[in-house]
Amino acid sequence: MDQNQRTRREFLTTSGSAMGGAWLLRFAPLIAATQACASDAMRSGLPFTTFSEREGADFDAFAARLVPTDDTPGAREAGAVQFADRALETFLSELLPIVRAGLSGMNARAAETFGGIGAFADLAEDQQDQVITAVELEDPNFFFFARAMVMMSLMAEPQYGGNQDRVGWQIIGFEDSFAYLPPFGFYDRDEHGDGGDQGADQ
Amino acid sequence: MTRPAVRYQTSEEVDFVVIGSGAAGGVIAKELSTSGFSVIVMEQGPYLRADQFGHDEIDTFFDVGLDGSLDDHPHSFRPTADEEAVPASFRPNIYYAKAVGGSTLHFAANYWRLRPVDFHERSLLGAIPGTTFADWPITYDELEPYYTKVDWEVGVSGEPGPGDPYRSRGYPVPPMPIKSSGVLLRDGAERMGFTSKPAPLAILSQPHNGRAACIHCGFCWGQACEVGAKSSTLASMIPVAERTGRCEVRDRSVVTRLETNAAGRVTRVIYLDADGVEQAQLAKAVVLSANGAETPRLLFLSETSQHPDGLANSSGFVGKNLMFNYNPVSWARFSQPLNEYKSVVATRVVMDFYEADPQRGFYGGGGIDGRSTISPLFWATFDNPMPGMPSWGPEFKRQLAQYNYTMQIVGHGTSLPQETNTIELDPDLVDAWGRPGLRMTYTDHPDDLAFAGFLQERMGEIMEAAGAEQVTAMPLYPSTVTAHLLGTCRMGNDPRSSVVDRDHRAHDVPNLFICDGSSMVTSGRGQPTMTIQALAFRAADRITEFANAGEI
Repeated sequence: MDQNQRTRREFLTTSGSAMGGAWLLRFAPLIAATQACASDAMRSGLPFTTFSEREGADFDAFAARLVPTDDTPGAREAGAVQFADRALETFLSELLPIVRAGLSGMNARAAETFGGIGAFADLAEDQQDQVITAVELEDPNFFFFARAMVMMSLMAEPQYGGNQDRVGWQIIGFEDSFAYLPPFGFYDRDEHGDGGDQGADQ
Repeated sequence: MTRPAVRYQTSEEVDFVVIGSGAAGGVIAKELSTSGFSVIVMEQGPYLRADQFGHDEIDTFFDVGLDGSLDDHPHSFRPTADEEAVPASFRPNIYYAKAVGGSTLHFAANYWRLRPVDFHERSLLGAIPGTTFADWPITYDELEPYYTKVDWEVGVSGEPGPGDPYRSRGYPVPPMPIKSSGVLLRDGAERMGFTSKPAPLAILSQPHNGRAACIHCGFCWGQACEVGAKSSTLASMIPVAERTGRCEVRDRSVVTRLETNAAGRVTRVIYLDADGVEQAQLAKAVVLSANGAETPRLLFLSETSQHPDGLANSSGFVGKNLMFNYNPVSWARFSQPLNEYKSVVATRVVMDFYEADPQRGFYGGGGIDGRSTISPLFWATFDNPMPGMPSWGPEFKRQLAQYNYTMQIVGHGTSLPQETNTIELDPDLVDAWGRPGLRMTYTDHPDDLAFAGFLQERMGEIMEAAGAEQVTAMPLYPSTVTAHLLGTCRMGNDPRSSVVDRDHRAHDVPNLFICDGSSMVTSGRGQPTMTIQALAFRAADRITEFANAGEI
C-alpha cells in the first residue's frame, strides 16, 4: 500500500469516531487570515486569482459532477470553484501543487480515454464521470483533497466564498440559527409538552 | 480584557505553581486560592474569552487554535515498540486543547461517575495476564463527597438513574431536554429489556452559580461554548480563583523543566514566557496537572543525576500504562427527521453493561449513548457511514440529504492498563519551544476490542428495536488517536509500582503533587473528566491539610 492510500485509509478510519477531523487544525492560523475575502466579490465574476481559466473551468466541472445540480442547487451554485481558487491562494496553499498536478492528470486521463485534446470541462457529463471514476483510483490524494474542498465550499460558513445563498445547508436541511428550542426533531416532539426543560422521565 | 487579579514576581516564592489550567488544574487552582494560598496557574496556551468562540466550522469549530498546529506540537505514534514511530502529519494522534480551560473547553461534557466496583475490580476479578490491572488506593466512598462538589461547583445537569452509585446530594440542575436520539435510545433500550437514564452533562440546563443556561446551539463537540453554559474550568473555576485576588493565570507560559535541589525538592519552575524568554518562578510547592501526555513529558525533561530516569520516576512507571477508553461507533437511520445538529451531543445513556462479567470470557464494561450526527462539514467531507454509499455523484447528493434522519450510537468502554502502552519523549521531534516532541506507543488489549464488539452488538439491537431503517456498525479499528490520556503517572500505595501516593504526592518528591488523567489506575468506562475533577477536589483538600500542618 502506498503512502497516499495509507493516509487516506487512516483518515477514513477515524471519520466516524469521536476523533475525526482534527486534521483541519493545522490550517487554523491561515484560515483566520482569509476571513476578509468577500463572497460578493467572488460571485461578481472576477477572474481567478490562483487557477488559470482552464483550471478553473475544469475544477468547476469536477465539482458539478461531485454534487450535481438537479432539482436543488449543487456545488456549482455553492461557488465551489471560487472557494477553491481563494483557498488555494491562502489557507490551503500547500495543496496547490497536488491540485494543479491532479487537474492536469485529469486532462491527460480524458485525452487518453476519449482522444483529442479537449479539456475535461468540455466532455459530456457521462464522460466526465468516467474520468473522475478513474482518477479517484489513480490519484486518491488529489481526489481526496479536491473533494474535501468541494465539501468545504458547500458546508462551511459563507464568508469563505462557498455555500453561496447557503445552498449546501439547504441540501442537508441544516437550519442556520444561533439558538434552538425543543422540540428538536420528530421523535422528541411529544416530550416537552409542559414547556419545561425536563426530559420524558418521571 | 479583564486584568489579571494579581501578578506575582518570578522572584517571589508563591505557595503553589499549578501547571495546567484544564480539568484538574482549574479545580486545584480555585481550591487552593480560595483556601488562602498564593497560586500561579501556568498555561501553555492563550487566555481566550467566551466572546471569541463561535460557530464557524472551519475557523472556530475545528480551528480556533485550541489544539495548536502539528508543527508547533509534533508527536509520533507507533502500535508497538518494535515498529517505527510515524510523526503525525495529517491530523493529531494526541488531541488536547492548549488554552486556559484545557480540553474542558471543547469536550462533549459527558460526566459519568465511576462506581464503587471500579476502585477494587482487580481484587474482585483477579489478575489479567499481560496487564498491570490494579486496585485504586482510594475507594468510591472517599471520593463521593468530591464528585458531589463537581456536580455543584463545576455545574452538572442530570437525574439519578438505575444502577447509579450512592450520591450524597442530588444534581444542582435538571437534565438537558431530551433529543430525538435520546428518545430512540430510551425506547429501543426499553424494548430490549434494558434501562436508560438522562445523560449527566457538565452543561447547565438552567442558570447556576451566576452562569447562563445552554441555548442548544448544537456546537458543543470540539468547540468552546460562547455563552459559558458548558462547565469548562474557564467558565466555572478560573473566575472564582481570580476573584480571590491570590490566583494569577499566567497564559502562554510553556514549562520546560522543574528545578530540584540537593534535598530532592522542587524549587523553581522553568518556563518560556509569551515572548519565548526563559523565566524561573520560585515556588514552595508544585502541582502538576498538565494531562496524561504533558505531565510525563515534563517529568522526563526534569531529569537530573539524582533522578536519572526523570523526576518522580524511581518506579519506572512515569509514562507507562497509558489508557484511552475504546469507543465502538454505529450509525442508525430513521424515517423521520431527528435534527441532531441541535443542542448537546447526548441526552440519554444506557448503563446496563457497566459491570464486567467473567461469563463473557473477556474483561470489560461500559456505557452507551445516543448522540448527534457530526456537524455539516464533517458529514459531507468524510465518507458517509452508510454502506454502499458512493462518495460523489447524484446518489451521494441524495444520501447527503439524510443528515437529519441519522444519529450515532456510541459505546464507551474500558481499556486495560499495559506497561507497553506509553508516552515518551520522541528522539527526533522538537516542538516550537525546543522541547522534545511526544512519542505514543499503543495497542488495544484484546479484551478491550472484544468488549467493544459485545457492546456494539447491543447498540445495534437497541437501534433495531427503536425502529431504525438502517444500522451500520463501524469496524473496530485498532486505536491510534485519543483525547483520553489516562494512567501515565498512576496513584498507589507502593512506590515501586506507582508514581504518586493516595494523596497525589509524588513518592519521590515531597513538594510535588501530580493530579490529572495520569493519576487514574484503571480507565473507568469512558468518560474520565468527572473523575479527574473529583480527584482534583480531593487532592486540593489533602494538599491544603498538609500545607496548614507544615507537612509540605
